[in-house]
Amino acid sequence: LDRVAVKSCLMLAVQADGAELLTIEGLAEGGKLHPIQEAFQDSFAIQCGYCTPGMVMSAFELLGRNPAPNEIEIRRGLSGNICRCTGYQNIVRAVKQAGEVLRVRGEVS
Amino acid sequence: METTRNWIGISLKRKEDFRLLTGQGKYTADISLPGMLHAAVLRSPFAHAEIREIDVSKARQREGVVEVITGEDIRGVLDVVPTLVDLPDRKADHPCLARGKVRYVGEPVAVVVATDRYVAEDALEEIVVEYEPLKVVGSFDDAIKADVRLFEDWPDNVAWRWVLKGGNVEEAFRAADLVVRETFEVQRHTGVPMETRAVLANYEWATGELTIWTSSQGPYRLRYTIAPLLGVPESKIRVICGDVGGAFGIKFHLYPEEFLVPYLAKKLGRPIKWVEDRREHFVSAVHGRGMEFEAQIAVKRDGTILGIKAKLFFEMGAYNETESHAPAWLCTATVPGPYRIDNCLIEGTAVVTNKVPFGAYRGFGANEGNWVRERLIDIAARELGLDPAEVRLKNLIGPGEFPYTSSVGLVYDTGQYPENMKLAMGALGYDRWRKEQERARKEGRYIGIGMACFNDPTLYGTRALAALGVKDGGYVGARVQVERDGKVTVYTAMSAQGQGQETSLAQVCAEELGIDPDRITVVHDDTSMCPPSGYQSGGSRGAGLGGGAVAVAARRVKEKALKIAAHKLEAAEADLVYEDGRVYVKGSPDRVLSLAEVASLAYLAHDLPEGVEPGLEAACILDVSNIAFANGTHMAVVEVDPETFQTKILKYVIAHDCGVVINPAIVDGQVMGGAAQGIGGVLFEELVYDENGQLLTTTFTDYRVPRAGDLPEFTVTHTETPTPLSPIGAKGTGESGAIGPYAAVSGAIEDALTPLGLRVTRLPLTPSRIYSQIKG
Repeated sequence: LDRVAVKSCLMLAVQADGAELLTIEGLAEGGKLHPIQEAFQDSFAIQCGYCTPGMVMSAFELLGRNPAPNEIEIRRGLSGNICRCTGYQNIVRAVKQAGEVLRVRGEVS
Repeated sequence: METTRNWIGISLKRKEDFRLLTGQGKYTADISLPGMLHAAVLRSPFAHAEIREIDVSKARQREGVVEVITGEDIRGVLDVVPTLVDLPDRKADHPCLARGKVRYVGEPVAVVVATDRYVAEDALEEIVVEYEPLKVVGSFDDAIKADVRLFEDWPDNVAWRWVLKGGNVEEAFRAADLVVRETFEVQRHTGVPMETRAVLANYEWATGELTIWTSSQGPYRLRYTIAPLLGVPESKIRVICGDVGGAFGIKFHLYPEEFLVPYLAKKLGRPIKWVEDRREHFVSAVHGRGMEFEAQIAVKRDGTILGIKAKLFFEMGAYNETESHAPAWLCTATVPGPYRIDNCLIEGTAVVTNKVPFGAYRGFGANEGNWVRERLIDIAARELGLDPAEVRLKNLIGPGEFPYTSSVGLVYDTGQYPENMKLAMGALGYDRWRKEQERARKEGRYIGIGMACFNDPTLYGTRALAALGVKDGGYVGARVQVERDGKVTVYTAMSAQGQGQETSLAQVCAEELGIDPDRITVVHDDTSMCPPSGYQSGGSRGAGLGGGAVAVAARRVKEKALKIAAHKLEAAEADLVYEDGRVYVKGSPDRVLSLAEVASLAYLAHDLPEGVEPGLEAACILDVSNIAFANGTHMAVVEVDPETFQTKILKYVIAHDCGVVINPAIVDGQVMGGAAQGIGGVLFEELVYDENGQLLTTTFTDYRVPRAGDLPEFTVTHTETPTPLSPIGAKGTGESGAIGPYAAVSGAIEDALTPLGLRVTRLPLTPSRIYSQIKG
């Protein structure tokens, strides 16, 4: 919500009035995956997929705040998202890769 | 087997990912149907109580409530959830809805169906149940005391006693230079998939068709068990699993809701959806891992292991839900493990207690059985002043000794156990870390190295399952269909909950047919489209059996393609070569047909050879004759803080062997994911019951699953020892990762705290537990 990660279940709809909302469904524009999404696929960061939307959106916020996070910063930045399938390693790799791509493309917000 | 591999062994990017990355996955809860109603389940707040009366009248009257049912309403229709393995001489089947008595907190007592979930949950609170609480059988000792019995027609609370033995264990123990005797305990913990269970059912009264979506490890068992109960023929039942958000064995079981929701959908003639919340999941989806042992190992001074004795004390929970006792059996059978331990006596006692029923959590008992033996080896090595790695290498079964029959009668097919361990030691830098450990100790830092060697039964086929009392076969079906456009559809009986079958099975098919996996679509988890499976997804059968069935079916397609091509090219079949998706005449490569062209001919059917039917598809329902044993070595380096007793894993190495690897990245992902769960079990997770049988850990605040910051980086290496049991040489891979960490991490912590004399016999090793074990 306005570039800050929020939990939709803890927010009343009326609190979002006037805000810019971005969800996982809106990240790929015109069917083309966002660099974060591409990085997740490249790094095999997905198994059952259930945590994936949350991980991707948290990564979106994290990279927006910190374009070049190190491993500790990434693991801390994703500490609010639980994954039970991957053991997190490939997710961390994906976020690192995505950060690099976004920096190269100058797409850091 | 072919020496050049085009698609096997390639880390092909997953086909599943696009929809999951874009929020377009279709988990059961995502599906909505017109006119859909919502169900909520009333669950027992008591661990053990008689039900005197249930009054649903007030709930029925609430606006929006369409139906309320209790156990009495479904008497004679839905009594118990069908089991897969029965107890030998007791019955503890799980009621679909409690009748007369409740036996665990969380047991389903009534179901409300309403226009939305909010109304349904509010209505639950208006159901008045008069309970008469009974004394709680809350532990193994309570159960043995038997002053209170869960089942009135049982003489006690013992569900099953069994013995596994081999060789001459008394002689072995007499000949020992050292006998280590200990009691061990692994705490109850469980799989915790991110997606909780959900069921959606729709009954079309005009056609008699029942469609069920369920978040499960397979659609087949529900279909054939529910058919006779609801009086709907299987031909009219379609079960779909859709996208499943993790399962880990927890969703291997059949649950009451999977019967109640379709029953109500049929009764009311409207679609009904039920989605559980996290708290419900903790109190009603099966639990795993809780085991207690008394165990002994007999060794010679040089570290040769002579024999093992173990007694397992196992709480099955309140019912046999599908096969609640079976993991305990496998636990005892895996105690000898990958070693030459030819003398053993292992006894198991399973009791019922007022807790959630036990289940098939990843590893199915092999985790605990391997843990106990590895602990005994570590302790014995320390007492003898021997290197624990050397003791293991000395006793591991060697490459020339296969097939090897373990002392409990399991036949190990193939393996390279010592080589696998040496690979792990090299990847870890074992000698370097021993030096580092010494240096650190002088500085007052506690660094420790732990290790686990284990093997892991996979690829359960019919023969193995039948011997284990499973009321089903172990086969997996596949149908490979080349379409008119030359692309291929693979229909598999394998079920997917994140393992990547849409990709790996496409790779298997691509390898056989010599075409790009891009041209292959894998369809799974739909009983109307896919061939059958016995046992479904479980026991690590995806690659060897699921992949094997696809390979055989694809080979049959190739055979037919050759016949059609031979006829068209006017050549003998023996003169044809099938390569890279094309058939050509040896020596005349210009006389060639692509697979797509052959398919066209097959569907046009104007000119087919004698005896060949139109179309280009083939099926295979594959079975295997025996269990294939995967194996692995896990090694961990930890540092334990001397003041907080917090454990940090500095390095974690896995040497894995699952035979032929189809997709290395997918396999590594499975191994790391399993290891993460194992580490969670050693360091963080615990299901805690109080003396009233109340489960205290029902949220993620209380039940600590590992977060990103809790886990180390994993180093995964492989030995690849194929098995003749699968047509593609692949063993199973899904469970191994979760087996190693128990011994590797707990052994490392014990090793680190050697100066403080800590002997690790109980899990989890949270800081406060370590502290109290040292002080105590």
